[in-house]
Amino acid sequence: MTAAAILVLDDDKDVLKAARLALGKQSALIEACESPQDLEARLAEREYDVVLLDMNFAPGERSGAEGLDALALIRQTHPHLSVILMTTFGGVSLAVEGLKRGAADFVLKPWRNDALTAAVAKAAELTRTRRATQEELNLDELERRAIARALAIHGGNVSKAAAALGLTRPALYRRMAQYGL
Amino acid sequence: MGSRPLKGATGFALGVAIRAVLIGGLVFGALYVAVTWGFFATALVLAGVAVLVGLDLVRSASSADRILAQFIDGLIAEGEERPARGQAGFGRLSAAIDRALDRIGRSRAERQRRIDYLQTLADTVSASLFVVSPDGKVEWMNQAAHRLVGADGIAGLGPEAAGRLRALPAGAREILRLSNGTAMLASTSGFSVPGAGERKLIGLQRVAGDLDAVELKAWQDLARILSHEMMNSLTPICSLAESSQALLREPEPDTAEIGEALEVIVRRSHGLMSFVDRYRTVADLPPPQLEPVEPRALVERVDRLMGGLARSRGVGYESRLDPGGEAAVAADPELLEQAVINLLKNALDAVQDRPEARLGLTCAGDADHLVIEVWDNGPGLSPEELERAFVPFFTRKAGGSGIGLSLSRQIALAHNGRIEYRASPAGGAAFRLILPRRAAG
Repeated sequence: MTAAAILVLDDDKDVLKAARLALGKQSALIEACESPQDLEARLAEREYDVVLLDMNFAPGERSGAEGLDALALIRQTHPHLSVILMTTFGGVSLAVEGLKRGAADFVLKPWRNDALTAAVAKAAELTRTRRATQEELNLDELERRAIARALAIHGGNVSKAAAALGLTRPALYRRMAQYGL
Repeated sequence: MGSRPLKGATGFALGVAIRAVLIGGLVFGALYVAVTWGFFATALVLAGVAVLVGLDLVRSASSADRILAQFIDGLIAEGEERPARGQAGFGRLSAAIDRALDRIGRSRAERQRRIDYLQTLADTVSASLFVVSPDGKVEWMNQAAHRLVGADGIAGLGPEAAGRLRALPAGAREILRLSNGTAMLASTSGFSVPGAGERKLIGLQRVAGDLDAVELKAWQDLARILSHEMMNSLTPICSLAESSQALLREPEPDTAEIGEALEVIVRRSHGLMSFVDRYRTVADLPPPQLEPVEPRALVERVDRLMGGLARSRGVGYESRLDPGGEAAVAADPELLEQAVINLLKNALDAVQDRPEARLGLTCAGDADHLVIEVWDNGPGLSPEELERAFVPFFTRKAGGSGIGLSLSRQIALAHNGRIEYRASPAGGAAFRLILPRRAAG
């Protein structure tokens, strides 16, 4: 298992410290974010594998609206990034709502370290799978565009386009069929 | 109808006249026949007829008496009983009697309709109503009362509740716990019935449902906040304790890291303890030691404590003592001061970082109440915020205890007073601490 980069959102510094210690071995990096306002900037700074999100991370806030807002922001700007919700016991229905809105998992506070590390490992794996799928899609798309361009440059001459692309004619034909060109 | 009285009147008078003339003629005839001709047998027959006509006259005259008697009976009798109309021969009298009886009948029906209306109204009211005479006898109950106690009257409430209810003076309001556990609000009022003397109206209203709901909601809110607060503190404690265990199992434990973890565990454990202590402050408020408190002295003390603090934070502070607020109030000076200072601290936090921040204290009132208002020109409270503001331990401030306002309210309640919120004319929030002048109870 490769080490994951984790962003923890909680307004309680001690919770951040506890998460850091509990996830120490597993994580390449743990960053903390104490305010929802900083979230967007922090996510832009570097690529994270998992976000641990407290559902109520403003003083006096218990509705969970802040958590759901933050979840929506992450889902919108970083659709592949797995989010684990953290909630106290009373917030299970809120966590279910969060799962419906695209969270990967949730842990109850106070958490057992084992449960937390397992959830983080699974979520990090999910992020990597999603990203890999996206990259595959991206490679296919690049190839399709390159072939289309080569064909356009050479006026639809398959032999010349194949030579320019460094492919054999049959290989180019196969790919043209695959991309519907 | 129009010609009947005239015809009737003529009929009776004519009848009397004819009978009188007839009797006179018959008596004269009898005497004449007897004296002149000596026909005694004929005279006897004539005299007999005269007697019969006389008897008929008496009968006819006495029927007027009978009609009058029936009229009086009709007045006394309940309902629509009345003499038959159109007594032959008594046109004007019987017409007048008819008119009188018609009018009486109408007003009687009207009165009955009103009584039915009021009875229906009393039976529709959900509160149980009893009218009690001075000797404690239930004279009247509405439907709700019948349903509540059955035929037993107030005794049906059970001996204890019935005893307390009977002992309630007029004008009292009290929550009664019935033998089956339901709570009812009893309110009494006195009234006097003309000619029947003093009566007491007792109203019993079911309040348990509403009260229970409010109480339950308060408990749920409190339980949610307590568990949230405790779980939040326990999160780092549990996790760091586990991590420390794991660290200690390593061949070369990182003592610095373990030390830091323990430091947090100790700090948060103490935090939990002081949290429970704060809970106790609200839950076990000492009973107030009442003594006369001069509002002027209270304002001066609060000015010294809070005025300087406000100004040092660049917040304008003003206090005012209205003439209506000058009279002394029976209160616990320390608790009262604490309640006011809590409100002022909240106001100070509310105006933090606002331009031209202002807050203040106004003491006003009347003969019955002292009203201490703490206002600010901060953002004020939305209805949702207001609902949560009085829940113990609810806070929007980082590091806030969330007991300031609920403690102030506890103190107000302990003095038989209350705290009310209103939007301040200055633009922000205003909390009014309202204390009865006589706080006994």
